[in-house]
Amino acid sequence: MKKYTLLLIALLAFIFISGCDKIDPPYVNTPGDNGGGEEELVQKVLLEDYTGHTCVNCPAAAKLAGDLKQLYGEKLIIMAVHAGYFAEVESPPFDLDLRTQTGNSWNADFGVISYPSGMINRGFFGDRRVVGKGDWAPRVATAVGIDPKAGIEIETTYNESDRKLEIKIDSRFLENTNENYFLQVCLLEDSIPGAQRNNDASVGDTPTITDYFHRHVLRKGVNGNYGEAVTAGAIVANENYTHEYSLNLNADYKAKHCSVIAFLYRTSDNEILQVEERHILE
Amino acid sequence: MRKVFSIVFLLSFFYSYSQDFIEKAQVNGSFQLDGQYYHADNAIGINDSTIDGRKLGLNGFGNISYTLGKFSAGVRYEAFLTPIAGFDPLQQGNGVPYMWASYQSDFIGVTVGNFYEQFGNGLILRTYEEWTLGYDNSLNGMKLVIRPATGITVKAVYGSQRYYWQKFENGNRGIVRGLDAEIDLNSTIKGWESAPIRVIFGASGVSKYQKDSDPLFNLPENVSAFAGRMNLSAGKFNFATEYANKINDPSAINNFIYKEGQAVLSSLSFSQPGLGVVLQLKRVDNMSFKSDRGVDGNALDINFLPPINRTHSYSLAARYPYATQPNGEMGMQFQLNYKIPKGSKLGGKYGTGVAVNFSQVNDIVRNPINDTTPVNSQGTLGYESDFFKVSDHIFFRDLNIEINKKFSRKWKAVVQYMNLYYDIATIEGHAGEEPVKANIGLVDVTYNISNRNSLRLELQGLFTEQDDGDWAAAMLEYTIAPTWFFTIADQYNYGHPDKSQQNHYYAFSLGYVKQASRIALTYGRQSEGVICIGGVCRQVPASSGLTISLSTSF
Repeated sequence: MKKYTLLLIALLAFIFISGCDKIDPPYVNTPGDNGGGEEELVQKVLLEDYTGHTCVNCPAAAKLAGDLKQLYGEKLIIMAVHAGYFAEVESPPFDLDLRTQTGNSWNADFGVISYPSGMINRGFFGDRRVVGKGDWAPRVATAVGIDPKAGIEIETTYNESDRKLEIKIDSRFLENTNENYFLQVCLLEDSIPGAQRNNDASVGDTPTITDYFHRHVLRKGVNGNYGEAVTAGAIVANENYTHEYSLNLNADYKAKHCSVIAFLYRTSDNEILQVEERHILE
Repeated sequence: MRKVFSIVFLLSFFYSYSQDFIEKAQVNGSFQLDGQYYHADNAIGINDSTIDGRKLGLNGFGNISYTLGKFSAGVRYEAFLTPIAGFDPLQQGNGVPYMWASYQSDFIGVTVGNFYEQFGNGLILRTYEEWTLGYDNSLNGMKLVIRPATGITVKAVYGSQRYYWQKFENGNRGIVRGLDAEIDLNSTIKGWESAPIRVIFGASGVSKYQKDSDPLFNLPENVSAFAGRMNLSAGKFNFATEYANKINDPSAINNFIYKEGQAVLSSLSFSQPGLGVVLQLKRVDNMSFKSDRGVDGNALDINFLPPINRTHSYSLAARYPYATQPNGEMGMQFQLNYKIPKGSKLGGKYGTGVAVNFSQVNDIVRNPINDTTPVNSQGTLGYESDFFKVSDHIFFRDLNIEINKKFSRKWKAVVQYMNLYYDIATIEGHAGEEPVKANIGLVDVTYNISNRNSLRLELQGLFTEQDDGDWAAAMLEYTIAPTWFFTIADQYNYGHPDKSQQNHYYAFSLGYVKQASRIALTYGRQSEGVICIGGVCRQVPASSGLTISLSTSF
């Protein structure tokens, strides 16, 4: 029996020791130069954060999104979509309604049922499109590493006197394609003050952060819930496709915190090819 | 001639083997279909947009196994088209997620394909399937069991875990490897066979591999856990304990902290005819162990942290079930079962059963690792925790007393009282909500009209000032043994703070049982709630409509 016992101990020790990666500090990687160039065409990534003000785990997810933004700079664009059960209006201080028709539609159509959840360029990684925050970082890393196939330029003109916002989007593809691509344009507002449920003391007060700032909030789908076709015919490489929009900024929105994001997506699978953001007062 | 002889020999061999393959084999199977047809019911908040076109949910499976001597094999077919409300939408799909082949002898057992396994109490490895929860974390790989000597069992496993219908490829989740050894000293050591004390030792190690592709954190790609266990029994006493330790395993569940995890589970019991006493203690600290560090739902768990609370079966008593908190909890349970003897004053003609159960689970104490880092900050060691200190924060407490009495050949009854404390903010994530403090009482009376016909009446009350307020429930069941049963039931949330939500949840059921087949139909409403099995829970949304359940086995 002694030899069996020794053999078993040796086997256990082998599995235990060979299967261990004990990590020493620092545990967090240092941000590198990931800001993206001014001139060159770079692949940008859209992280959609489905959230709500009574969702206790959402502030930690928003912080994670912020950490990724710090790491990837302008290569990463964040859009917080307030939708679902946790975004419903309740008694004060949770009486702020940040839901939108567009956000509600995406929430239902993409089958978001738990919060926080996210989509990275609305792409499938395995057979999951909507994922928990634990999967955001590696998926963003993968999406950022893809060679760009299209570019977007946004021009905005904002008139403070009548709060009129003019938007011009130029889209350019690097290759000819017969696939259908749509352009979606959205209006975002950053740093909206309000209350937020929270269970992570490292992010803020628990159970409620009363002076929370809701970041990168989707305010409106400028050209509907699913945008419009880039062109009626086949897409030709290096041709500029221009779309123009005009809207009046809601009186409650702070123009200095508003931005326009535009993304091109393939209609066959909804995957986003390229995304761009521009602050309206830039 | 030689060729003809060879063909005849082969044919005869194949024929005789085929005969064995069919005649000496045993085939078993079981099938189940659960279906729900939904309709709008505005009174309980269900409208056409809630149903969203999915008027019919159907969950079904079929298990077939084949055994020939020491060889066995099997498959399980599943179809969730579309899944019943409350099941994860990722369940939607159909196919054969479970197939296996196995050879078992006295010395060795080998299984290839999908399998379930548990080391000890499961603190570092348990794979299992729970149909009611829609939970299946089976391993797909190989399992080897060797019994090198009497009383010694060694198990080795490796594979990837099931994640709904997602195929394992390109490292989209981790790989699990494990080894377990158990020695029964009384069977192994000569002369100990009839010793008054029986001793079993066990040890196990489990390692998972998952590639680090995270740009933010420097993550361990190989995470190991180790556990040791012991079981001592002497006469009417039994003592069992297991300790587990896991190295740094930052994940979505623990907010990407690098603290080691540990768990301990101990149980002391005494048992003799008419009396049973059990005391259990548990401490869990950062012990979520999944084969995908990014997954934060009920999936891909490598280990299992057993609950030490009573599982209630009556509807209102089960309304607030406890869900295991893998990030940290300290719990105890005391259970006393006593049968007041027949013929005594209290025992009467048939005796009286008394069961007293008390359990409480608190949080662990978490102290900051330094003056500047808040507790549980991601990318740090998280916190420090004194092993023996219990936090004042109570997650769950349940004191219940049950008396079971048979009065005559016609009458019997169960009476139960339960006092409950339920931290709904922690257990269900309803931050800011007050803990539920409830008193629950119930009576269950059965009257046997004749040998085949019986009536059973359940009356329950749940009284609380928190959450949805007071509830009352009644259920009447008529059984024609052994084939038919009919029930009419209602749960009434008469104490809901919002009067518009003081709803009745009525249901009418009938069932038919014949041999190993059972069909049940229910029409009515189902209240929103939580269902937990083994501390693993899923939300059950309110619904209204027709439910069918059909099962059979052979």
